[in-house]
Amino acid sequence: MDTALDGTQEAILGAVGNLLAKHRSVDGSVLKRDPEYACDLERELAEAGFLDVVTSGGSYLDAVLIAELVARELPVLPIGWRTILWPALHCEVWPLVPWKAGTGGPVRFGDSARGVLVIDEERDTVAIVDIGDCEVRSAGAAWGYPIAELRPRVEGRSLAIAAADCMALWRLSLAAEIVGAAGAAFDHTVQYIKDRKQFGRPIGGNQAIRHRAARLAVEVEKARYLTYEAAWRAPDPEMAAAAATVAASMAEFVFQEAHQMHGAIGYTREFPLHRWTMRLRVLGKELGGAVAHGIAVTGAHAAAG
Amino acid sequence: MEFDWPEEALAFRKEVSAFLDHELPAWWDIGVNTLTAEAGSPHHEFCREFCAKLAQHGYLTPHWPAEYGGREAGAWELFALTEVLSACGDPRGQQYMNVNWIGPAIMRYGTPEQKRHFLPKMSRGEIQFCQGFSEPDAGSDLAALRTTAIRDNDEYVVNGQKVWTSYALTADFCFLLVRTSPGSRGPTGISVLLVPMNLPGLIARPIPNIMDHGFCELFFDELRVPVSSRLGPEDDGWAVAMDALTFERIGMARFARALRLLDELIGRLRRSGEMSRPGTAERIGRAIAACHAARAVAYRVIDARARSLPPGPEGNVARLASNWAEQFAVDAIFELSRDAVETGSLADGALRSALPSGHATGSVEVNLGIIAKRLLGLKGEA
Ligand SMILES: Cc1cc2nc3c(=O)[nH]c(=O)nc-3n(C[C@H](O)[C@H](O)[C@H](O)COP(=O)(O)OP(=O)(O)OC[C@H]3O[C@@H](n4cnc5c(N)ncnc54)[C@H](O)[C@@H]3O)c2cc1C
Repeated sequence: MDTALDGTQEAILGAVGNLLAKHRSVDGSVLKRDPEYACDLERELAEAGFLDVVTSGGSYLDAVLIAELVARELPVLPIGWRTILWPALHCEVWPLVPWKAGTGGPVRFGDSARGVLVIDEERDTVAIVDIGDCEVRSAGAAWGYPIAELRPRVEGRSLAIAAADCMALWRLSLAAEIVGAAGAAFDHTVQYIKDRKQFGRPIGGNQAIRHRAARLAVEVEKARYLTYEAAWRAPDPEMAAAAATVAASMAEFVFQEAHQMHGAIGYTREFPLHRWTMRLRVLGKELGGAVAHGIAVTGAHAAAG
Repeated sequence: MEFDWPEEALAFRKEVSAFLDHELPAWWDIGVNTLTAEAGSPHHEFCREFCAKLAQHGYLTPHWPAEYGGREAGAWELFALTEVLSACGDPRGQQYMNVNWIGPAIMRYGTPEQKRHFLPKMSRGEIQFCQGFSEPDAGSDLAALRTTAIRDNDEYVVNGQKVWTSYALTADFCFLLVRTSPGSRGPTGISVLLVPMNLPGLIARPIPNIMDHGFCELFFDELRVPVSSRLGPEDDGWAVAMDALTFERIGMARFARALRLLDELIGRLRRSGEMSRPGTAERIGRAIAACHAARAVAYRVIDARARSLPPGPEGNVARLASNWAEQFAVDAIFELSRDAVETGSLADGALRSALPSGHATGSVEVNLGIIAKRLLGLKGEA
């Protein structure tokens, strides 16, 4: 057991951090435009080998740490799916978006996808459907990600991976992205309540704010360390679903409190907070949100005896 | 970063679990209200005897140094032990305080005579302490305590009152905070006394309560104890007490007990065919997830301890996570159990045991204040 980063992890995250820093834009108008799939950033991260740690001697935990770090940035990409889910599939198709059979609903990055990964838990099948064999309807990007409604029309080519493993890795990648985006929103909030003064002192000096910030800290830390542990035990279905459950409810909580503590500035386009908080709502309800993840926890827990 | 349990901790967990499966009597069921330990109750008598048995097998003070009856077991073994014991309602009863922090405090601050007198007996599970800190006007603001101990040659004369003293009626000694410097205020002028409970001038009166918990008020009326019963320096006992409490780190693994209770609930609901009722699996799953999360943040605390790092605010995070996970779980159990409001039911015991967790180890607000200050660096009111 070691709850601190080891030397290799520190080195990898340091290098990823340098690459991310190069991509940070000083152009504030970026915040006013709808977010787009940051393909360039993804390509550079891939070329540097950071997105394939799982298949090149690293662990799921390393992949989760990278996904968390990338999810803290303003540009968006399907970092969790790419680093955590995709390597387990051993397939060539990318971008590939996962889709749970029988649920439907809008999908992040759906209109940039080349393929859809159809996961059918009941039949325990996993298949890839080419995007040409799907109905695709764009659903805008108001909530921090480009979104599209998808409907596969064919069964597709089946993959040799258990549906349960796919679901566990999907939930893990979701938890990792929530921890990243929420962590960034939270850190900005803590800084803001230290800087912003009203009644002659920082608003963070008031107990009503301090205690709520501390409560948020507990929820963020819970989700973060449970996600790390779930990554270490991946693809354990109970741990992955538990991490997603805790992360999804934390996402909602951070959304509410981060905005409340920011006042009006937090709702403006030029202030970056919305880039994380809007995303949190999408991530928080993916796969049915905390309610559905919670049911999955009980299912996996009872199955494990 | 990695999350593999050390081999020796896994082995120890297995060994102690097997021991408990074998040794805990059938009547000690999972629904036991862990706070119930009134003097003379079968529960209390059982805990006392069971501690001696745990001691014989090396399960009471494995983390203590060999010279005091331990084997210096590591932090992860101790955590495994805590989880396993907490999961079954901690059959050590009040003894957990002695082994977790009172013993270690005596090791650090005690005189050779105090160590000889107390430590072997504690390690054998033969004596029990209670904690005399809180007073009617000193709760969260513990440094406002007023009980005095005035020096009279080689004795202290103690006067005053303590309250909420858990297990006082069954304790042999009290780890007592008193004011030895007359007229002092706040954390200065306080000392720690190790006081026998059977002396004239000390009366313990039970306080009836909804938790069925054996807590008491203590009245000190000209109680005389030798100066040699003081632990650590005179007038600097605040530092001793605060340092002693840092040995505690996580205290009870409330999340581990909550997980065990949830398993019991799942079994019952399955047998009665109620698992498929709307909302049931969701509610239980979210509680299980909260318990796993509480364990995950506790790892950080144990890791710090394993590396002999000073305790930090991650301990407050872990404590709140564990308390909330337990509350979340017992609320689910209460809501999902048809017999919840029946005296002695699973939900009844679970909820009443969990009831005071927001106060008994420092209130939620006190913990939040520490996190705000030390983890987030927010200046301002406590
Ligand atoms: C089951 C149980 C067992 C206990 N066992 C023992 C024992 O063995 N020995 C012992 O010495 N004590 C014991 N205690 C006492 C315990 O330590 C106190 O309850 C605790 O310190 C809180 O003090 P209080 O109850 O006086 O509450 P108060 O301090 O009066 O607090 C009441 C409420 O006000 C809040 N509050 C107080 N100050 C602030 C502030 N500055 N900012 C915001 N909110 C604040 C608190 O958080 C709490 O919610 C026990 C308590 C319980 C419930």
